[in-house]
Amino acid sequence: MIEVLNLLLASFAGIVAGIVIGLVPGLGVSSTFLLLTPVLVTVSPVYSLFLFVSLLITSQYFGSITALVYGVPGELSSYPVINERPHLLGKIDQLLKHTAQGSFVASMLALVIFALLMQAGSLWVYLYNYKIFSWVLAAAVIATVMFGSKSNGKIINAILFVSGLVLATVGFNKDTGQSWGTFGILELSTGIPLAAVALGLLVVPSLAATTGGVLENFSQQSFKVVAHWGSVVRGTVLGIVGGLVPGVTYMASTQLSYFVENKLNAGSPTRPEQAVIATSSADNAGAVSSLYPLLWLGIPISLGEAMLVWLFDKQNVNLNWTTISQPINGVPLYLYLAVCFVLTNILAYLMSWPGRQLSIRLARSLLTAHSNYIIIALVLISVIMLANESYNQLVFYGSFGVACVAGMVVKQLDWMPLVMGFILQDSIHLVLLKLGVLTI
Amino acid sequence: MKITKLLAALAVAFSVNALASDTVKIMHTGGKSGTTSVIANEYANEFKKHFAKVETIGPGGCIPVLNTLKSEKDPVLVLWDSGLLPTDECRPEFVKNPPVATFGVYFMLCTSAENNFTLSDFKRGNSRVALSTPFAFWDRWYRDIAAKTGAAYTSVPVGDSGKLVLSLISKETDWAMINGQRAYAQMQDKKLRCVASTNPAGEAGLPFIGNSIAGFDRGELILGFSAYVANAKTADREKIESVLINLHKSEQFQTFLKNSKFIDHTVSAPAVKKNFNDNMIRIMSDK
Repeated sequence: MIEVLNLLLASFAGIVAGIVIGLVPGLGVSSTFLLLTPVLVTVSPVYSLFLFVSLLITSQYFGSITALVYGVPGELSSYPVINERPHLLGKIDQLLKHTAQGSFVASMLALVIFALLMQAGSLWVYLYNYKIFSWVLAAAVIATVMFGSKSNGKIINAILFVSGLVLATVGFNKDTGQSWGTFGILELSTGIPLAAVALGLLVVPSLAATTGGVLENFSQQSFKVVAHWGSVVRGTVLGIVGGLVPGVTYMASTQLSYFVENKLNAGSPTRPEQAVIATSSADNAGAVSSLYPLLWLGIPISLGEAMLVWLFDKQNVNLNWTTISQPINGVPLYLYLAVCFVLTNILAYLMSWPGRQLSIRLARSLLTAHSNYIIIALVLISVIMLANESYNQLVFYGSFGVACVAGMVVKQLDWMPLVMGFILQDSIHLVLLKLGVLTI
Repeated sequence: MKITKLLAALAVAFSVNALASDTVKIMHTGGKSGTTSVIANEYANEFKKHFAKVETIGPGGCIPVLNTLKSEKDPVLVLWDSGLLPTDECRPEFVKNPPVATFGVYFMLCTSAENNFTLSDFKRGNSRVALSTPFAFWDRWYRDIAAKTGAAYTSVPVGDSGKLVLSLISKETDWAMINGQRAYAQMQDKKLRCVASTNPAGEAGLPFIGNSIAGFDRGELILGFSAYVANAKTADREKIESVLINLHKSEQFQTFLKNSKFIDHTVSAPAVKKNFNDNMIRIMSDK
């Protein structure tokens, strides 16, 4: 039984988690959500959905605060802000205001666009049609290979993606009634657990690579108020597009927006602040649009979303528009989600601009030498709890160990395309069966 | 210091969980939106009244169920669906365990209500048929019909049985065999038009498909379920069986079965034979 009060509490927990991961470097949305899954598995997955949405939105607001004020990237998508920060000293306070405004407007526009799309009749039903589904999936695969990781290059991305597909195929397939890659070992019939692979390949190496930033004094000089609405709108549009790129989602949004803004404003004295405002807007718009494929079609395009789907799976529930349309007290769940979304944005905006002094003090207290130890302890606890939740602990620990070694030994590799291959394998397998590429 | 406190708090939380012994797990072989999952959730709602912790698990097929059972420490109520019968590895497990409850539901051949198709249209072929899991079984079933009618069908795998209705409504496919539990409700909502049933006596005014297609002897198709208790001490087993038997006898569950068109064959081994007689096993096992 879903309780409205619990939905609020879940959103609040998401906001708190979003503030912390926005302010603390080394923790991303997906990895934090992964760490929370052992606890979330004990409650209704609908609460997890609300927590995830609140966490995702809030973290985008607060990532810019540590980046602008302390020069520490609270969120991975805050790196463009770090690049521009040397040009912005003395203007930080006003920029906090403008990035918060831009983020708020971008989030709301992305929500409105989603609502308008959903108004187009029962659009989601027709999106289910496999031809459209296939095109969406093909776009996701191409985007992962082309843009999934700039540092790897396309060929390595493709190899990693296919490796992810192969690893995810191991186990018994209930659709076909066949086992693959288990070598007759019964323990492998439930497959290799995604959580173990993702923790080992992505979370552990990223923690090892995290270095503390240099805390700089916060200057409160003001500068002429420039709204830069053009940058906000450009950032929003590009952010929505970038957010649909699997694996990198809103990080692709910021890179895309940063690139375009720099090109458009080359030589302009306001280029640095326009770039920061546009990327912050893109960041938030991208975070919202990254939810579109999940909420429409049940296709997760990030690790956090995949874990959300896994939480729904664990309780025998599909995460799709049908589930989100279920009424609670006569009101469809998606309306509660929309309210949660708007309230979260308002709260995050208030905390990141009018309440910025409090947020800055909070950031200072969180950016301590102990923060990494706390995160490492959380990772260890999560590994143990997730292993307990898994179908086979031996397979979980084994997969985690191998993934950790691979992730640490080949640190220069961005493993995200492999994880995306893992995440999309189910959908790709079904589409290939439908297209007759694979036989039943 | 803060970390020590945090770890201490977590240790207390874990130890409280570890002490909770009044636990039962309901493990099923189906997909998450499939019919087996619907039943498992219905069972779970009842078991929550009698056990402190009830968990529903669908590891993804019968072999993963066998694997998960191996390392399971808590008592488990296992819910098999008939889809397991084609899988040789699972057959012995199914046969050796005495079931506590069994029941089943017939299928209906349906199309979208927006289509004006009739059973004759289906028999003429040149249409897309939706396959739910296990795909190979349903593919073979439609090919057997095609062999009798001379019609041609294009098979479209759509996933577990929960996806069949969506597949029809979205016009991805023209026809699907949907269990009576779902089909009847969708007919009432005027979303589906059903034209035949696998019930030899006919159902909801629909003719028996076996009589409608000359020479087709695999028409009597039932989606059967069988529940048994595994991994339990005598006391736990008796408690689980008692809850299940009482649930099946309850007015609430009988209403659920009636509304969802399930046929109850509760509580005795002969009933299983009724559900899975030799002919049924032949039809289901795809041999």
